[in-house]
Amino acid sequence: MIKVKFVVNGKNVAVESSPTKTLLDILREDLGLTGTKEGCGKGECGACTVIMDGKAVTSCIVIAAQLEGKNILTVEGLSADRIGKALQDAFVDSGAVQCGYCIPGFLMSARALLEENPDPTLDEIKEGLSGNICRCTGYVKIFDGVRLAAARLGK
Amino acid sequence: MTTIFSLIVTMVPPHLNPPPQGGRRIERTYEEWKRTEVESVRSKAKAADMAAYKYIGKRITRIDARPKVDGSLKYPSDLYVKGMIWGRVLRAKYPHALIRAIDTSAAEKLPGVVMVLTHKDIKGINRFGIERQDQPVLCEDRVRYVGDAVALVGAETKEVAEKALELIKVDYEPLPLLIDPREALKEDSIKLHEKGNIVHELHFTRGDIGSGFAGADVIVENTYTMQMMDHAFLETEAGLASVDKDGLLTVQSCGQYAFRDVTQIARALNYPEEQIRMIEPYTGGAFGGKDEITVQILLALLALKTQRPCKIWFSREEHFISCTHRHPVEIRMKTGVTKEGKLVAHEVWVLQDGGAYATLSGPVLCLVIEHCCGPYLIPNLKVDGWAVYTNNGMSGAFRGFGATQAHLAMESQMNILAERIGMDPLSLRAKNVIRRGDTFGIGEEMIMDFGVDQSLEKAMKHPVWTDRERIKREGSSGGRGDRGKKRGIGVACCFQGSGLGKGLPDYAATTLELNKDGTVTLFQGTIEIGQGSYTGITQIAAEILDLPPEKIRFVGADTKRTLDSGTTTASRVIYAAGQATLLAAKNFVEMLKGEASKIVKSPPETLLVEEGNVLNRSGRKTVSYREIASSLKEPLRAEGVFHIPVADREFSMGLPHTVFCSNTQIVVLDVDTLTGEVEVKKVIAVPDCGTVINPINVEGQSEGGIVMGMGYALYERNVIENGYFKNTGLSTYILPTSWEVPEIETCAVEVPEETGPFGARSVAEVVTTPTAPAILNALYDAIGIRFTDLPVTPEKIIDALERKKKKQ
Repeated sequence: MIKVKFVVNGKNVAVESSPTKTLLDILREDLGLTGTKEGCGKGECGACTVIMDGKAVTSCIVIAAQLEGKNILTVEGLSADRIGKALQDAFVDSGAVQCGYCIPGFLMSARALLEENPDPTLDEIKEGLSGNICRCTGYVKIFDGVRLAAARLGK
Repeated sequence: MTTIFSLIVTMVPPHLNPPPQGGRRIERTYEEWKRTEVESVRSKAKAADMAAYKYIGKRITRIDARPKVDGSLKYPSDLYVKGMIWGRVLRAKYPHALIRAIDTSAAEKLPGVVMVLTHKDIKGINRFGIERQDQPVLCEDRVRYVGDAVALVGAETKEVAEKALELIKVDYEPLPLLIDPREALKEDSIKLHEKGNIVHELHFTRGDIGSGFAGADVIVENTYTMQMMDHAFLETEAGLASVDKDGLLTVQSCGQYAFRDVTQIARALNYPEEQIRMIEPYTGGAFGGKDEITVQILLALLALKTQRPCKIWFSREEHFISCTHRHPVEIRMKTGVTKEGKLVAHEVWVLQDGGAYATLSGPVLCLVIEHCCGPYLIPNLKVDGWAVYTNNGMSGAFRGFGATQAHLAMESQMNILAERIGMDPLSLRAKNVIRRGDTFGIGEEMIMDFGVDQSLEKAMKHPVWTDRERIKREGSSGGRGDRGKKRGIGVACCFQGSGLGKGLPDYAATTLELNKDGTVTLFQGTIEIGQGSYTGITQIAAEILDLPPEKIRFVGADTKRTLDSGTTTASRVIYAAGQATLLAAKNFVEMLKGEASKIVKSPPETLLVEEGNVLNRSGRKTVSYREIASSLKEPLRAEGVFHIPVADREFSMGLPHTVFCSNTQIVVLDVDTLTGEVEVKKVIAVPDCGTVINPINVEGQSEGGIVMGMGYALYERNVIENGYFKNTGLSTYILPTSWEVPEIETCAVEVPEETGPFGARSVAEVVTTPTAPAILNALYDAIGIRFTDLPVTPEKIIDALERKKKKQ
């Protein structure tokens, strides 16, 4: 067991864990933050995406031993984040949500994208979201959501 | 000749208790419906009235969108409770073997292991299956596919549970495999089940097939083969179960029919039905893949045995190998047409690989047969179909439910025939469509309005179709397109029944209850699996109650709180549960008026509802829903029950439907002749789902269905070799990603369904069916090669192009 201290959604947390426990399991099981989802457990579907020190990462392949001092943003922290809130609102307004299970991951990838590129083209959106899989929506309204958020933030 | 009887006897009986005290129920069968409601629905659904609706046809925000974007909504996999244990399943090591012995002693000794269970711990029939119960919960002496469950471990952590699986010793004796469905049909093949390898067979003839073909000018014969496909919903199967001190077992899990799951748990474990409560919360996708039992019985067994709360959550790999898939099917079709474009004869042969157990192979075959002519009239028909057992995984319900496979073949045939007689492919379709009053398919009569002709007409007038020669030239090399690119434009059409079909109980029921604060709780036993039906149903209630959707609280599937409302499958929810809700709401309004009349001292018939108030016609006397609620001792409660109409005559076979949706799609794609890659550029969809209750949701279903259809046509396949799954991850099972998404335009035609709520039918399945055949037809248009084997990968395209070059 190791002790790691890091920041989640602006709050300091300390967790005792086996060094190989994944960030995803720590969020869901130790911290009760079930908004971050598991779709594959192998970094293939993007459902567990969170932002770690400004970069979108799949939390199912980040382990406890890597977490010391890290700053993590999850879907539960998005409402307090300017870009995150705009994305949440735009996803709701665009009809980007169906079963919604992949949506937290998409929101996190989109948050990382818009921070780096506030006015992305459709191809840049597709590239930014290409690590996330959605089975319900056909992606169209998710792209709409990102564009709408970018437009609203640009005003 | 047919085994339809087994379908009927094993289905769940209705769970409709009498209405509670102080409540009232309205129930409508189709016969009653015809007498009382049809004319009014017909007249109200006219366009002029649509504008007058407040909530119907409007782009209302989904009721579940906000908790889904802020991470607060709890899916089945998000349920954790203090003191719970983790369950893990030991799957079969071989696709076909005898079990000589199971030794769990080493596993039981591992610290942290609570219990290891085998078939010996099960008191009931230890079998499940929607149509017939032939699948073991935990195998006794034989395994028939690699997903078979052999033992169940309960442990304090999932890591310990996983480790314990490795310590269970199973002594197997491998048996020869049955992996070729053609082999399964042979008399002398290995028998996977006591009664043989045939799950279901169907044979149907109409007219005189011989003279039909004799009258044809062109006859086309082809064999189409379709792969196994995975639902690949993002949330794998999960749930939580617990038992209270009185023995009430509560299972919260994914699923598509909570009431039937109770029956299946009770039967398998011999536990009383009334002691089981099933709750099926918002689920992370299903598409038919959560229709059959997945985690439910295992959860119940572990909770009952350990008396601890327990959680089971299948891994992605476990999902791929153990759960149902879209059936691999081989379809041979011989179709005759006159040179004037009249379809005259159609001979169809179907072989469907159902895998190890029955689940819904029989009903899927029924729908392959029912839809094998497409939405067209063909006077002379001969169909023979078999669904067989093999050791190739499991196949069952999947969006389209056999209609997908039938149309892949038929819609390819239609384009080939059209080319051979020199006719526009949409015109050939339009010439043969089923219309109201026609007898078609397996002898059904189209007694309702059916919008396929209008869907085709709208597609034919679409600028992408009328201007297709120019669009095609522009995209191909020689035009302005890239070197080596060839553009093609293809169409396909489809239809599909709403509901389960004649022979199965098919009804829906909604309860409405007035809350003290004047809001209303809507109890509905179907499940929100992503399709948006809870929002549509809320809109229907909101319209009748004249109450904003945010003032309606939705309580979903819970067998102790909601009425049985049937399955969340078969394109039936918005149609049937929507209609039940409309009935409940009308009933509710009458009751509100009755109570209000006592307060405002005016007769109920002079009262109206408006914005959460009941008022008299002059608007002078008003009483709010809240005031009515506080005047009552018992909460006001109303129910509505709707029975899906079925034909009043008997059929020799199948599950014939009465209400049908349809869809036409146009696909524009580019083929890179150097790499074999296909880029789908644009898809136009013209669904007829009756009145559109919520345009955003219909567009969303259409877009998702199209991209799923692209996966079927071009990328996806569960690869099974000698009974073993070869691609069990999302990097080897190839799904469409954001890069593959084309431009999509959905322009619905709205032919009102007279028995549907506000004229609505449904949309869930027809949105995906035409995509794959339209892609095959567009590929032919682009490179002149007819593909009949899915998925059409770049390798197949390059091979075919090289073969074509050699021939020239």
